[in-house]
Amino acid sequence: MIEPIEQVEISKASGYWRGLMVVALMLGIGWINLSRLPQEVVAQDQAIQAPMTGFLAPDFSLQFVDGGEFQLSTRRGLPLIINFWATWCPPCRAEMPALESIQQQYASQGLMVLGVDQGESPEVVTQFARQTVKTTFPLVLDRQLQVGQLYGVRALPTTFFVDREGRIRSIKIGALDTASLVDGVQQIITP
Amino acid sequence: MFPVLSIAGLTIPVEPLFWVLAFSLGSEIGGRALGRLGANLVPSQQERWQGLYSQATMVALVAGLLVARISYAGMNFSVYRDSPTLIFSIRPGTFAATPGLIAAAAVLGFWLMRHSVGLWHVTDATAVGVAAAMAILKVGHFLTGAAYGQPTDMPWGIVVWGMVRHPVQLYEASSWFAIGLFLWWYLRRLQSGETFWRLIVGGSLSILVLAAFRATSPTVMGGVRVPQLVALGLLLIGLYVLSFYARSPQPRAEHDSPPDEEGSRSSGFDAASHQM
Repeated sequence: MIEPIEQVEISKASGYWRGLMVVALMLGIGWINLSRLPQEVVAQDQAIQAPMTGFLAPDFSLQFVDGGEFQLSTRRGLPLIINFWATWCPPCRAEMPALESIQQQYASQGLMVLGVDQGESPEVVTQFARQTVKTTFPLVLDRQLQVGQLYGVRALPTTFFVDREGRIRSIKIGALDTASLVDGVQQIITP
Repeated sequence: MFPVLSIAGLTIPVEPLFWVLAFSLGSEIGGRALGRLGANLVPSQQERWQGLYSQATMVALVAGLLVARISYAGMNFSVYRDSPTLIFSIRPGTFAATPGLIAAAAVLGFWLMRHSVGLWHVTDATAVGVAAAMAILKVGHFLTGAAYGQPTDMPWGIVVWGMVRHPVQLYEASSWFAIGLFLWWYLRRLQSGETFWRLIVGGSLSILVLAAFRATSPTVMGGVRVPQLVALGLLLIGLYVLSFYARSPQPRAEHDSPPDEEGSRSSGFDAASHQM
C-alpha cells in the first residue's frame, strides 16, 4: 500500500525524469545540428596524402625489377594492391602464391598487385620471385627504404588496398591468404 | 603513429595488441565487479563469482572467435568453397567482429546464468568491464592514428596525418575511464541492472558530445553524424529506464534474493526485472 506522501514523491520523481528526457532531447538535437561534419573539413581531408585508411595513397616512383619506372599517380582510376615485402621474410614468401593468384583472377578488372621489395638487390629479388616462386606481377625496388618510410611500414609484409580514386581502403599487417585478399579486393574493385 | 610496436625484439601490431589488452583488462575488472556483487549477497561468494566470471569470459572468447571466423567464411563463401582448407588459415582481418561479439556476449550471459548468477548481476559487472575495455581501445586508436580528430587551433592539438587535430581518441579514453570509475564506485549501492543502464546513458552521452570532434564519422543529411543520432536514441532509452529505478529505489543488498545453501542464487533473474 503506497502512502499518499510517497505517491507525491513518486509523482515528483516522474516529472523530474520526464523533464530531464525533454531537456536531453532538445540539447541533443541542438548539439547534433551544431556539430555537423563541415564539408570543408571533409574536402581538406580528402586531398591529404597519408598512409592511413581513408586518405589518398602517397605518391611515389620506383624502378621495376625488370626495368622501367613505376609512378603511382599514373595508376589513378585503377585498383591497386601495394605489398611491402622482402625475400628474407618468411610470411612474405608464404603469401606470394596468393598474391599471384589474385593478380591473375582480377587482372581483367584492372587490378594490379605491386610488390615493393624492401632494401634488396635486383638479383636477389629476381632469383626468388621470378625463378623460385615464378610470380608474374610487377615488382619494384625500394632500395633506400624511402617508400617504406613514406608509408610508415614497420613490419613485413604490410599490404595497402588502394581504390580507383587512389584512396587507401584498408591496410593489413601480416601474411594474407586468398580469402583475406579477396575481402580487400572487394572494397577497391567496385567502380 | 605506431601501427606496430617493437618489444624485446618482437614486432607486434598495435591494433590486435590493444584488443587483447582491452579484453584482458575488461574481463579482469568485470570479474572483480561480479565478485563485489557476489560479496553483497554472501561475503564468501566473492571469490567464487570472480572465478566464474574468468571461466565465462574464456568460454565466451572461444565462442566469439569461432563464430567470428565461421561468419567471415560465410561472407566469403565462394572462396572457402573452392579451397575449404583455407578455413584453417588464420590471417589478419579474417574475423567478422559483430557476429563474434554478439555470440561472446550471449555465451557469457548464458554460462553465468547456468551457474546461478543473476542476469542483471552479469550485465552490471560486464558494464564496468566494458567501460575499462573501451578506454584501452581508445588509447590503441590514439597510437595507430585511427578515428582521428578534426583540425583545431587549440594549444593541445597534435599533428596527425598532416594537420594539427583534436586528440579526440584521448578525450574518448578519458571519458570511458571516468565512466568506468563512476560505475565501479557506485556498483554496490545501485539496484540490479542500474549499473548497466548507467553505462548506456554515460556511454551515449560521451559519444553524443565527443563525436563532434571526430573527422571520420559516417554522415547523413548533409553532415549529421550517424553515431550521434544512435547515441541520442540510446540516451533517451537509458534515461527512460533509469526513471523506473528512481521511482522505486531499493538498495541492491535489500532486494536481492538470498543465496541457497551452496552460496549461489536460486533464480537466474533478479528483482529489477520485476520492477519495470
